[in-house]
Amino acid sequence: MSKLNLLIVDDEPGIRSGVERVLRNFSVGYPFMNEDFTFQIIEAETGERAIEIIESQPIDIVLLDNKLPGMDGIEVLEYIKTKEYDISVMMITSYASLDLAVKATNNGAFNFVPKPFTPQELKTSVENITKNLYLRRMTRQMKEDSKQVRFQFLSVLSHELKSPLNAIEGYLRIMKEKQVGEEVDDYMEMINRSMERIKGMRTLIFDLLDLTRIESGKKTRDLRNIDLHDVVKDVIATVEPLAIQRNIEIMLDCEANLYLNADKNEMEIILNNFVSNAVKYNKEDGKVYITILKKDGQVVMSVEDTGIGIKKEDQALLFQDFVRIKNEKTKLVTGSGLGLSIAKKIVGLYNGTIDMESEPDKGSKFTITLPLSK
Amino acid sequence: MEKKKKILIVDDDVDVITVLGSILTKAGYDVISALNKQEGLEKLRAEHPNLAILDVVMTTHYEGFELAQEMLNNPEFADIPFFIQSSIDILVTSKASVQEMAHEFRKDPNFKDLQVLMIKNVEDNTAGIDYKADDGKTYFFPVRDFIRKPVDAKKILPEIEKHIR
Ligand SMILES: Nc1ncnc2c1ncn2[C@@H]1O[C@H](COP(=O)(O)OP(=O)(O)OP(=O)(O)O)[C@@H](O)[C@H]1O
Repeated sequence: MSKLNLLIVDDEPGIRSGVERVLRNFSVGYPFMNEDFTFQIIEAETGERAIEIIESQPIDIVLLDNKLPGMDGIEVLEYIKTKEYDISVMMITSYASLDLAVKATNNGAFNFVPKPFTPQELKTSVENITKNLYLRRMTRQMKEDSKQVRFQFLSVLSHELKSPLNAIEGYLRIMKEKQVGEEVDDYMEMINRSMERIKGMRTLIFDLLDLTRIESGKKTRDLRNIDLHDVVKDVIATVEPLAIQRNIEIMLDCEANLYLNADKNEMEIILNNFVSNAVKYNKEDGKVYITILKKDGQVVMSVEDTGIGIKKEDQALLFQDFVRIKNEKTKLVTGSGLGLSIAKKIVGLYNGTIDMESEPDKGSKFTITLPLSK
Repeated sequence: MEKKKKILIVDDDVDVITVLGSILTKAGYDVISALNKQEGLEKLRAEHPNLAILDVVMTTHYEGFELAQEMLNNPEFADIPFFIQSSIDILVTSKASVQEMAHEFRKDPNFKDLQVLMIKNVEDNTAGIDYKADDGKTYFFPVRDFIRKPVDAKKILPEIEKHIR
């Protein structure tokens, strides 16, 4: 239950107290509104007084008589409009001349109640104006929220793009000033790191494209019966070179002809992310176990590693855009920090879930569950 | 021989550590580093450096600022000067205190929505940061100086000379 401040501006005390009486125990509620609204009635006998009140406390709705002793209602309305107050105004008038109606609507009056009005007429008008006010405020809030999300995304993105540039520029300056030696070989480590950072930027750009395609719904999805066994074989083949370098063994448990109605490219993105993470964040001579099976009308895919694991407090952050956990063990690994958030978004498209178990220094296990569609 | 002065670099980017580290080592400093706030606090405690250089955005958005505030509030570290290193533009002023200027900037429609204001007074060389944290509140704290990324040896070394303990 929340209270709206309703200001009644009328020089006739009888009208003011009448409005007070009718609205005192009145409440407005709609199925689409989260809450019911009641009204706190505030009275003003002149336009001047009304403005004083509006200046000094938050007002949501004004019921405004046009014919007032000093400044008239239209002037109060103009004032509210020029000051851009978030207030809905309803004019009360005994002679609703066309002229006044046009002028008032141009200045943003919500509607009119003719004087004299019955309690029911007043209630209906207040109900409408409340609904309108609620919707207007909700829409604005939603716009602001989405602007905020976009802004945050862009500011994190620009940070992610600047970091590798700063690193590479830093290395190049050192080389230009020949800070650590005369031979190219003295700089080999820096050159390799620069190349690694360029590779990271490239991954970021590709991941970003994937992400925007998924989020905009532009990516054409090609849903058909695909054999997950084939997909996972391909994924393993892509990751294998990195695994061999670090002497990591990838073990697969998946029967042939395991069909799922899905987009092949999306399944590749998901599996590739989990399997490549299981290799990237593993230890030398480690193992990766991939299991895919059908169970209770679902496909369950799990990727388990014997790697560095993830601390409890970091686990909650992982699926957010750009989050990467930085510590001694991960410092040389490059990535965009988008992989898991992309995987999560895709899994969401299938109404699936991702579960995670992880223990620092022991390893991690990610389990993806996708419902089989009919 | 005089003992080498020790500088702690806290940055989640190893390459920034490498670049800055090699510049500082060449200039005769002893360099230690940490990749996040937690490790940073451990190194501060164990090594008690003569100066710290802090990155801002690490695993969390304002990790560097949080570390800075912990340093200011903890008497154990209160005597360790620190710089904030970032690629955000710095606002300069020559009047009033930097904290008052932060208030002024927050009223200005051009700046009031910025998440972070880094302000430096060019007359008396005081500096401070005013930022809106994720909880919606704004915080202010003083800093010795700002350092712009990418690292530039010519600019950073004189600043360090000026402030190192
Ligand atoms: N199997 C794992 N073991 C340990 N840590 C992991 C594992 N998988 C992910 N992480 C942590 O989660 C973070 C986010 O992973 P994510 O896949 O989103 O990004 P990334 O690996 O940095 O980049 P990319 O999108 O290029 O793969 C990683 O930086 C890493 O710290």
